[in-house]
Amino acid sequence: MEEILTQIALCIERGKINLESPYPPDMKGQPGADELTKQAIEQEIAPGKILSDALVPGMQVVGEKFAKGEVYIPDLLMSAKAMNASMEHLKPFFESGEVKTRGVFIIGTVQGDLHDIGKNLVGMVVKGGGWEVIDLGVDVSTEKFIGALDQNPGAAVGLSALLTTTMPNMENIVKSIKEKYPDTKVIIGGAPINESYAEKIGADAYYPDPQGAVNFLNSTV
Amino acid sequence: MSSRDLVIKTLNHEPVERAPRDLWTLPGLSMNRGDELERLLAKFPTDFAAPKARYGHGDRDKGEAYRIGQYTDSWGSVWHVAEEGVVGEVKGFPLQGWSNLGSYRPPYEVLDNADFSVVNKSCADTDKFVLAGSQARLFERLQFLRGSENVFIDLACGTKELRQLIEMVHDFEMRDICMWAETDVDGVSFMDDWGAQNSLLISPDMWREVFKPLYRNYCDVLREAGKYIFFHSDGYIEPIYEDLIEIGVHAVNSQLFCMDIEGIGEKYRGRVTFWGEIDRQHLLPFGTIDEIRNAVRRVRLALDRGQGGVIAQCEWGKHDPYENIEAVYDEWMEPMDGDVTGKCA
Ligand code: B12
Repeated sequence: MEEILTQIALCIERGKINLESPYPPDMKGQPGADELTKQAIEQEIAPGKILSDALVPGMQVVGEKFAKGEVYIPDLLMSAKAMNASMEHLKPFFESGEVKTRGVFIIGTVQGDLHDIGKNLVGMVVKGGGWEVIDLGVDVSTEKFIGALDQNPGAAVGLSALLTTTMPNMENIVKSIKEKYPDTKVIIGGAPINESYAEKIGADAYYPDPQGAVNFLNSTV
Repeated sequence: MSSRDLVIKTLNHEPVERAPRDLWTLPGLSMNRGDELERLLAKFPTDFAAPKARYGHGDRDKGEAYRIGQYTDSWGSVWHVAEEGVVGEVKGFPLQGWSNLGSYRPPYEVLDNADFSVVNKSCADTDKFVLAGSQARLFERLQFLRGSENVFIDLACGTKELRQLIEMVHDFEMRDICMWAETDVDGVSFMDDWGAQNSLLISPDMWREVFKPLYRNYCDVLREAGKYIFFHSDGYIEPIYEDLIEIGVHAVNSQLFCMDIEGIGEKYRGRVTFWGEIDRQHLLPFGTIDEIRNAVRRVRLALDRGQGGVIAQCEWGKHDPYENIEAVYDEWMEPMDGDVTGKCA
């Protein structure tokens, strides 16, 4: 693999956004994901290769470390920021159709629930896994999920709930989605959720962390 | 024995004839289920009382908390409440960008105009343990002012603006803590939510570097004044239990049921008082009476073992059935049976 792609992957794993960014302290003064991605494009490395061989693996390493409890939310957020800096340079190639995402992932926190820190992290890591992410925000109704699916046929859906009192709303949402779009993959997560609950309500999977979601989504394409 | 003595003995890890009781309610409960609350308290009176005190009106205060709609707190954070009796979420962050930092001032008028004149009398008039809830909630305040994501990023980057803001909030909170330290209350509490379900929100190292010294300041003032120190955090906080003990916290309220309760008992029993609790995610709202009673027995076996050191506390959520809460306190009155060295089912 090209050296520069390894460097970009490292910047994403470590959350090094650009030259000015003081984080992480041991990479101070070095170019970040921003400058290196620009360089890679100038060197005419295929944008699809930058995505698959630098961004995706970089994000995967940090996602796995987060799942194992080796890094924490601030680290993961910095990695997501670094990834976004790279993505900015790839944007024109997504728009022209030269680079394709792996698919569309619709995510939201279910009706009645306003917790969004976990949902946002899942969205970021899934995006870093090469997916287009549509974030419907918090307090999202069944109709809104269905509406988003109407506009994005074939998308996968992620539901987040942090309250045991809003968790039951997942059941209705899953049921309605499966009624209208039986092939849609629906994954769920959030503090009170577990695997047996996912099974009970007919969701396709439960994951306690964002990387689990990416691995599952990748296995469906 | 008076309620006050009962709590103090518990805090000093002396054997007591029953665990002292404390009950928390989410705002939605007293708003809609006042009768049930009264019935429970008549049957199981608590051993804690709040001092009679009133903080001043904040210049930025607007609207009413916990009511559907929007309100602004004294720090200028704008809350949207979609459901009656729930805190809601901050949608307007006064310091989302740093441009206002230079002119920003904490709501000192809340402290300057506080009326603490009858606090000491209210302490003298009761034989309950008087616990003051301070305003100190440093990490959460930062989030309400900046937005959670911004705070996490500030922490990672160690920005000087964040340091300045922390200093400002800490100064305000120290003044509040000092005000309570000068009164006759028995104990003072402070809080912050540090845990997600299975881990801390930030690394223990970052917590120790940035926040622990500031918490230590609170504890030093309160210890010096002879106050008992109570601390609450939601979520999984096992990695900082030792630190809390080290800085002098007497009683910790945490989500025991996200953690290894027996392991916590092994490590910390006799060194800190467990201020509750019983699982409020699954058991209190959905558990059967038997499951609730088993949970209480599990906590007693792991943390109390008939030697004190546990306060029978739980938080009554908006939809939790009356019977479940009653079962918690009823089970705490049962004699400890069985093998107290073994683990319960
Ligand atoms: C921070 C917090 C808040 C903040 C939320 C800020 C925000 N913008 O999100 C504030 C203060 C606003 C808040 C409010 C309330 N909260 Co709150 N809150 C928490 C706390 C402490 C941490 C949650 C968090 O952000 N964790 C960090 C993130 C990263 O973790 P996470 O969300 O679990 O997400 C991870 C995984 O679960 C997973 N994941 C999440 N979603 C998804 C989705 C998919 C598809 C997948 C695959 C994975 C996945 O990946 C994430 C990363 O690993 C929890 C404690 C806990 N045990 O979780 C209580 C907690 C969830 N809150 C609780 C309560 C009661 C409330 C309130 C009702 C309080 C009140 N008095 O009004 C209100 C509710 C408002 C509402 N209607 O939603 C209770 C819920 C109890 C219950 N019955 O279930 C908890 C458990 C605390 C407690 N023990 O009482 N809260």
